[in-house]
Amino acid sequence: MSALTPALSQGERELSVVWPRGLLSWVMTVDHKRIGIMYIATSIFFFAVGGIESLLMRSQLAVPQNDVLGPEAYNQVFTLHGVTMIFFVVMPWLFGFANFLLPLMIGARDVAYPRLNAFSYWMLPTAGVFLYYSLLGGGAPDAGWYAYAPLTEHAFAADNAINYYALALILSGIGTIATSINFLVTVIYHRAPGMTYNRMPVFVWMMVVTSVLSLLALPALTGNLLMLLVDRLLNGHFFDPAAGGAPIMWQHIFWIFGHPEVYIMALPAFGFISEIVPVFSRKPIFGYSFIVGSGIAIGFLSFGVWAHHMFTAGMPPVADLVFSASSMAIAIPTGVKIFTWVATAWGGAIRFHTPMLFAFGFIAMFLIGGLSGVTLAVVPIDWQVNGSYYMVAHFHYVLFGGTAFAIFAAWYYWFPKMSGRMMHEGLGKLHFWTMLVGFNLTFFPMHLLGIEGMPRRVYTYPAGLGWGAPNVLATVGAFIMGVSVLVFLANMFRSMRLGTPAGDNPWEAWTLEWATASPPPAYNFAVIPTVTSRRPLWDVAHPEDPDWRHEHEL
Amino acid sequence: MALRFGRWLAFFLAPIAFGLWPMSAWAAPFWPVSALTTQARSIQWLFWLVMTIAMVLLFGVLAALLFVAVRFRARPGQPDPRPNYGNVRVELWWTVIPFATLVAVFGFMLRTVNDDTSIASNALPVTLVGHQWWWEFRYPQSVVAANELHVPVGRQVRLDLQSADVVHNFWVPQLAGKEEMVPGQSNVWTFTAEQPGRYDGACSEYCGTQHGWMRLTVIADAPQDFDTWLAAQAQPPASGIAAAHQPALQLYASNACGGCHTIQGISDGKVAPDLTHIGSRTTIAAGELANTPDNMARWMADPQTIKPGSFMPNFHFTQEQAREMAALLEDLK
Repeated sequence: MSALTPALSQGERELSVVWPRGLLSWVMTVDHKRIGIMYIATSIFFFAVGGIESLLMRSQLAVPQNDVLGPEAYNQVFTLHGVTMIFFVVMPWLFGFANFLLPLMIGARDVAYPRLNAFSYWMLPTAGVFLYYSLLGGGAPDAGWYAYAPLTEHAFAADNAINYYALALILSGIGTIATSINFLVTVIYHRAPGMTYNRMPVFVWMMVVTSVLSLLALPALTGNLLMLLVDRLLNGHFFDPAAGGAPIMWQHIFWIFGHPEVYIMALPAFGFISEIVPVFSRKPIFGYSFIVGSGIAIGFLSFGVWAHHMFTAGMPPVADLVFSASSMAIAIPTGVKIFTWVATAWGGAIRFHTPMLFAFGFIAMFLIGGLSGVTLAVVPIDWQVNGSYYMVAHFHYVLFGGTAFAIFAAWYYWFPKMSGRMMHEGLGKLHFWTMLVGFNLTFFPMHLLGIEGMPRRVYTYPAGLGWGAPNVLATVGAFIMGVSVLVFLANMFRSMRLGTPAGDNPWEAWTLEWATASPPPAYNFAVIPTVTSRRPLWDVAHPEDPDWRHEHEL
Repeated sequence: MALRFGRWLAFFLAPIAFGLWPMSAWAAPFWPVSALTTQARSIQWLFWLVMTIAMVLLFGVLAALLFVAVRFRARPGQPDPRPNYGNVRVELWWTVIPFATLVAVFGFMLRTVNDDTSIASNALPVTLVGHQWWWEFRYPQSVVAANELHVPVGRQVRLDLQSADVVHNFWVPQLAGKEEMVPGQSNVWTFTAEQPGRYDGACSEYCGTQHGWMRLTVIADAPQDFDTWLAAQAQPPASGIAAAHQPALQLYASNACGGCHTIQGISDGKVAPDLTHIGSRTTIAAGELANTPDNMARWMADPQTIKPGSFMPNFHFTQEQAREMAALLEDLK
């Protein structure tokens, strides 16, 4: 495939004389690949921060009536952990991969608006500074990541912490909205010749849906936060019941953002898995139109399920039931995806490299999270376990066992393309198995704690309720995960310098990013490729049976 | 490769048919808190119904993953298998079967929701007001209690849930589900205790610094015991109190305790728990401490160490003053 990437061109040599080098070249870059890598590097930094916060929490909760952290500190730590992991780890990590991969996968030279792309990225560290500056300014926000009013109103939170929370999320939201526009325009206008919508890689499709969701959902959050700031700074009354405001309105608007947000964090992960499982099974995805269609269906449905977060907020039973039905409905396209991945691997010749291990781990863990999600869609079960540790278990199975496992799968899969070197397989497998064990040890017992009656977000709990053993297990598991992350980081730093050179296409994959050098040159492709099917590199390798002959077969 | 529908159907239905009822019976004791009311049992039943279906699906997929991982692992030198681009029939089946299953679950759910939200005509009305970080219970006949909700066995209780400040959530898992207490709105929640006893509960919506110690206890009494309790709570404190606790009552007045607390006939503050019968409660500080004279004296001496962030200020009582105050409060039976 190197035919597409000739050696340094005349123009490139001339450019390299005037273009800044070293750190400055990263600060000034508008290259989607470098911006993608900066997103990911920022995410890894915040992942370490959020991870340390989680270990602090688990240390406090290891035994009943512990005093590692007092209530004020604990409440700040769990709020920071949630906000950090959602807005500064999962989203930018996914968007970082998308930034790197999307133009490569559709055969483009960059995103549609490279400078807007740089702006979007720089919103992220700016927002991170706002969030963590609060620590220096007297204390971090302590109202939880969904910050229910009126706990966030001036009367109950007089210091500046909540203002920093609101500003940080508004800024990061602006970056996300700009990126979504960028992705959509790129996909609509910059596909290579022959790359019809029907031939786009599944990951690209999932990013299209994700971008639409971000574009529609994040303004709701921004609006909510602005109303909160009006209340706090200009004596407004949006959420003040004494003056006729409605605290319940915060909940509605927040979850109108918050539930699509769950899929903003899940659909790109579905995309990763839909790229990785076929390559390592050596088979095309089973039912392309169903896996894409189910992703689009999830996108539509995700706007009609928000109030399942509010079954205990006193809505009329009919409203509860409507949202219960829509929430159950979302399980159907999600199930289609799970079955599709299994069917893709079925009958394959599976290569269990680290990306595939994490992909299988993802399918199993995400399935558990999805199934506990169905139990939560059943209104009376939700009445019992909502707001408890069962919830904590559920969304960590979705977001860690699900999305984070998919991110690791993607990491091991695309790291060679980004760096030109392979990750170490042995350390990768150690990372996977310790992560799988640590993860289940941490979060599985939380299902039981929730059913037994332990509310979430408590800084301590009484002895004598039988909650000791599951909490000890969870803490042990959390530290195993901590070690696992250290293995991952060691592997990453080692492989960046010492990894085996990867070559253009180490996994014998089929999508366009593997048609160029690793790492790709600034212009991606010397010649824009012409695409003839969903798996262009398969067609190159198998001229006797090209993929386009089978496009009518789903 | 063509996947035969019949095999898939058997794969899903056989474990459901053979596993569902025995499994729910087998699993019931493992619902870790024993559900002790009709309402909690109906939720438990629904939980195990959905959980059984979920388990069948989970173990089916896990088994398939394991099978695939063993059976279809690439052997050295194996060429790529023949491509298989999908199968519409299979896709439709695994769309339709989950859909039908969920419709059935929805039907069972309707029944439980209907059972759980019906209100009896003789229900005992209690207004429950959430405060940062304690519970106020207002019974008929202007009885006001805190943190321990006494209810009669066998009679439905209709809670009128309100909040004085932020959003709280009332949850006693053995008795029923939960419901939010939202400022500016009134939510209704009902339950019927079936056996006398004490039931642990907690606030389950994060409400600020001491959310962790916003716990409550429901005490279900036999009907006649409940009536006795209610009658006693309606009485003012015993007449001997004033004479027996002169110095403590002076402290109570000089530190303006009555600005927040009520003791019938002495003060009528509404911000903090009613103390008229605090000596009759089994816990203090919303479930954090057992109500003993020693604990009460500790609480009087330094509440901020026991419950940091609580709105009970530290009055810097001497040890002796703290003991006098504790003695007064313990006598308010």
